[in-house]
Amino acid sequence: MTELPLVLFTLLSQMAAGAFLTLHIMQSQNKMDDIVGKSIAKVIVGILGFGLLCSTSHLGDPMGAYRAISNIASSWLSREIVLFGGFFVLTFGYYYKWEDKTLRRIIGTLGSFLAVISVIASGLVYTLPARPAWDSPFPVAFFMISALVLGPLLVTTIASIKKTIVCKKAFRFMMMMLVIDFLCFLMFISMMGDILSMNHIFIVARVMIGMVVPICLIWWSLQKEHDKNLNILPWVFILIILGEFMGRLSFYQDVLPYTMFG
Amino acid sequence: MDKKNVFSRRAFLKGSFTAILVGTGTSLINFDFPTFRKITAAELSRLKVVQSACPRNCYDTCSILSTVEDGVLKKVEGDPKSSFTRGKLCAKGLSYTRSVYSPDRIKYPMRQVGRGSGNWKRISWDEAYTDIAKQILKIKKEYGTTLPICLNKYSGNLNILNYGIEGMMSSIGDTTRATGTPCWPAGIDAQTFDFGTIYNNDPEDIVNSKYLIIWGANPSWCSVHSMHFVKEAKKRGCKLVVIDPIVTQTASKADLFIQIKPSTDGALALGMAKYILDNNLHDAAWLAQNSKGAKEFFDYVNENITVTWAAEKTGIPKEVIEKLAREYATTKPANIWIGYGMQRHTNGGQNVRNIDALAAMTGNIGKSGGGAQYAQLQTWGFQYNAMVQKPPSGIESKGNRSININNFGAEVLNAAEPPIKMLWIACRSPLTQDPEPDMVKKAFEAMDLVVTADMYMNPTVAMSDIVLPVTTTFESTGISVSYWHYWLALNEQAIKPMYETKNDVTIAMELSEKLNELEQGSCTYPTSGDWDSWISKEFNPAIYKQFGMKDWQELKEGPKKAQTGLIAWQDGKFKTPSGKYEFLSENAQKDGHPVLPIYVEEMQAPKQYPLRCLSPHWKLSINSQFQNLDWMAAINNEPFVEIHPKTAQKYNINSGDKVSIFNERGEVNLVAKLTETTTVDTVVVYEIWYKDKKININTTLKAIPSDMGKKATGMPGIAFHDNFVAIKKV
Amino acid sequence: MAKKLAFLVNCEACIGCHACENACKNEYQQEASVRWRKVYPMQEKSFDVPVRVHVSLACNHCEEPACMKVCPAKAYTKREDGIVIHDNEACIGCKLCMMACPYQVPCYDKNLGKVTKCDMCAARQDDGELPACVKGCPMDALAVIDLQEEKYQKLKASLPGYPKNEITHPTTRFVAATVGKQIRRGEE
Repeated sequence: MTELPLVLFTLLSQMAAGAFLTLHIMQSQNKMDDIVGKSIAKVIVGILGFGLLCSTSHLGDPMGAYRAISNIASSWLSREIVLFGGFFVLTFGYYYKWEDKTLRRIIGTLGSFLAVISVIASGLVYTLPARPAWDSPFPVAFFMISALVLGPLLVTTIASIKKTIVCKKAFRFMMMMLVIDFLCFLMFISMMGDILSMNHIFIVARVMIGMVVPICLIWWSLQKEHDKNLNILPWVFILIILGEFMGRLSFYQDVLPYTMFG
Repeated sequence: MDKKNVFSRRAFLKGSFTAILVGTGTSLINFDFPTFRKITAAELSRLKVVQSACPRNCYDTCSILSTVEDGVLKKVEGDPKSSFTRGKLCAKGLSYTRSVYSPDRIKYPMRQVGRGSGNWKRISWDEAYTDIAKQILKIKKEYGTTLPICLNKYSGNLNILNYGIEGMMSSIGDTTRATGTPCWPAGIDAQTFDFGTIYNNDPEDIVNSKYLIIWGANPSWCSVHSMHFVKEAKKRGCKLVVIDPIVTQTASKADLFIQIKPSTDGALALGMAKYILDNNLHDAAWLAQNSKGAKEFFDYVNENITVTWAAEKTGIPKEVIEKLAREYATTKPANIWIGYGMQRHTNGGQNVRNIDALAAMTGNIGKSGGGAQYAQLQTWGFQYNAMVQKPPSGIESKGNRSININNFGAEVLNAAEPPIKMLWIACRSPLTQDPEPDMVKKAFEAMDLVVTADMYMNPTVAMSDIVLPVTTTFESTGISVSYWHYWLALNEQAIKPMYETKNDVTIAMELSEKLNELEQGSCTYPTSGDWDSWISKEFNPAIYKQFGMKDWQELKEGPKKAQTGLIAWQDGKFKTPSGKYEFLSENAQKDGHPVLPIYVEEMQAPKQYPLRCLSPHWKLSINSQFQNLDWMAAINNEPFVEIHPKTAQKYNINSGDKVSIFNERGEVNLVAKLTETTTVDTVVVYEIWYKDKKININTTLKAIPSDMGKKATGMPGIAFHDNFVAIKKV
Repeated sequence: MAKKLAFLVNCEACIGCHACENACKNEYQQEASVRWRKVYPMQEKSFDVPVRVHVSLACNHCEEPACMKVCPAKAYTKREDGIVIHDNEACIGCKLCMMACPYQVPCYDKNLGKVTKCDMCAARQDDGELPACVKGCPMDALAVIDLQEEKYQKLKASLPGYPKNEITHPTTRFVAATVGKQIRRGEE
């Protein structure tokens, strides 16, 4: 639990990035109600802001946080902060300039691009040779998957709260991402098993709660009429968030460093 | 970046942080990072370096230089002026700042309401002295004697002035004393019978050995400084042989490690002796001139000992014994270091006699690079002024009553006419160190008053009524010498006593004052005296001559080394009745021991407890001291037992599993560490007091006496390593 | 030519007594969990016979320090003489260097809210003194050497069980422990 601030920051920032991307795509394809879209834009600002606050609480010297951009020459952490900083400014602009459709489109495109590379930068922070299980494509992969699962999840949940119709495409996309997540996770534990300290009960719980059950629920609701599919959203939301939380905690806690003369 | 600027800013930051901490009244004092600039003259006056001496029960008894700034002990280092300390300290010595400033230190006298309840109330020193004095006088009145008062004091602090604790007891009348020593008495007796007394070569002389057997000792953990001289000897061509039941750290440094069945060391020595005799490798000339009873001993060996027998007894192959014997007898000079661990068996004393015999018959006694090293008290010839006190006038002293320190619990309970009603425990922790701690606890429970003088809330203090907080070495003054090397050091007071702590002599003086206030003339202990006078009264012309000094104040410049007598028995004048080395010892016989160094059978494991449990010393502690400090806990804080993988497999135990070590006396639960450094029939649990963990291997230990010890120390020793247990997975 | 300072750890001389660890603690009085130098036991199976062998490690003052690479606050610098220094002022306590170091060298000091590590007693060395651990070792098993010198070129840069050197190119050099002959009792 010591890494809780980082768990929250990475999940929230990835959720905001994915949500921004989802919102931009949906409203570009006219699949998003204008008023609901603005609400979602506002929530994205709040979530990313809160996430960034969480990340400073992880620091031993939070007042020195401004110094964290001093090393973009070699540090992915400095780069990540600059990128997420820039992205945060854009989410602000996206919300405040929502009414201006041209600006909305420009900021949306720019922001989506920044969102993606920010999440990739986040993943690269942990792609460290000193932690063999992290020294692989997996951190970037897991972070991108989180963004592409949690982002659409946030957008569809807010939309359903605002009683608008959510298109089936969003659900199909989420289900596909969860399947990719499941496969990725399986690949991870089979390749890195002996340098991880996860126990079997945890693995089963994580997969059931965060992947299998939500997949089933989403698939089941896809068979129903449009207005019936809104009922499962609160459950899917909770299950996926819980699963992602467990997964991210494990990401930080269970990856072992090199043993020293072990 | 300007280096000077960075560090002074750092110092400022740390300084203000410190100010905040101190201001909030926390008892743990945080330190400034040392300022790295060159010290200015003004600052130099706030900074001083003081001569200190480590008063622990340790071979190395280091000379220390303490850096004090503004009345705060900043750091310690070894004194380079001592050629034994060589400017280095061990991990324990280097943690002294943590001991002085530990938040766990007992800060003021306290009274426990309900012994063992943890319900401690702060009292003033005056209240404490009054309660204690009243109790002493009450006992005196009720029993007509002060014999019901019992002192248990040993070696937690070997400062010469600390013998003032015994002095304090003597000054109220006859008292009961826990007599003897748990540590080394069997070997002392053995060497007393053989040589007349214990006496080792200056350990710095080890560099001259060409063959060194370290037998049942682990100096890598217990006499770290000696290992430098061992390394130096090896560099000069010395072969290092280590004989031990387990592969210790020292055994890991040996050219040849021989794993022996515990307690059969005497058999190995006798097997070697047989080979030496058979091959005429003994020094007949030396024996003729310097020994008594060589013929009788040789007859015994020739009639009773074969190398085959020795091989079977010890578990060591015949060829190995023969090769060892040949090498030892023909390499000159050859040295044997006899460890205290080796003699903690029922036949420990006799085994030491057997090894001594080996050294004598090869003519290795009295030579540089040779010898049978055990210990020495040559440098301890002080006046013991703090200790020697007269009883109060009007009291006829019949002598103190002795009870066995090694069977303390039972003997306190059994004392009669008069019974024991009050305990004073100082420089010791019986509830962690003694065998049968449950009996010790029962003894405490039967007392009217238990007083402990200590620094930390260890299990012994936790069972007392009144605890008196004492000072560390750095907060008091004194004199230290070693039972191994030949240096004498002055311990200057480095800092003021912390909180309300006092040293043991101050306690004696003030208690005396209180006793006399309540009843004039009830205590003869001096009630005043400055430290300079206490120290100077310990010195005498013999000590001055031995160390080549005219005044003890010279020690303020640095420690001094004895100038004579650095090679034991070099003059061939043994202190035995015959003046010779005695294979045949009538003194031994008088005490009920075999007259010759014959083999005495070792104790066997009972059927239901087939595993021997060795409980050696640990590298990060000295008995109950040091492991409780946070720096040590950061290195290791998990009690463990070393088990051979084959034994572990038999009981389905994996590394890291919790196991129970038990016998009819008690049980401890420990984490298993699988290692091939031990044998299938032996488990190893280091004796350590872990703060806040209720684990004590001594709960499984019976108070089995070792064979010898009574002659030189008043009581037999303890066979610590003859403890037999069983294990199971928890 | 600038020096390339490095620690020399002589495991042959070392007796695993932990004096070096506490010599460092004694000098800088770090809080208990902050251990700039640690003494590691080697695995028994690394040797032909069961022995107790230890390796004392502080910071490896790597040629390509991972800590310096990832630090967002640029709190690490590598001096001309090779010593890698951490600046407490710049540090923000993000602890990424702790994850990036293959040798688990940086320590988090919760009282300071910052990371600290061994700096090879740079200030002491600048004053002509030896590092506290080197001075404090009773067996003289530690030394500071200049890797530019010819005589140190053949020294071992790794020991069994050590993380691979290719990540950061650590400068610490070793003299491996040799093992004597053992006559151990049978295992019946």
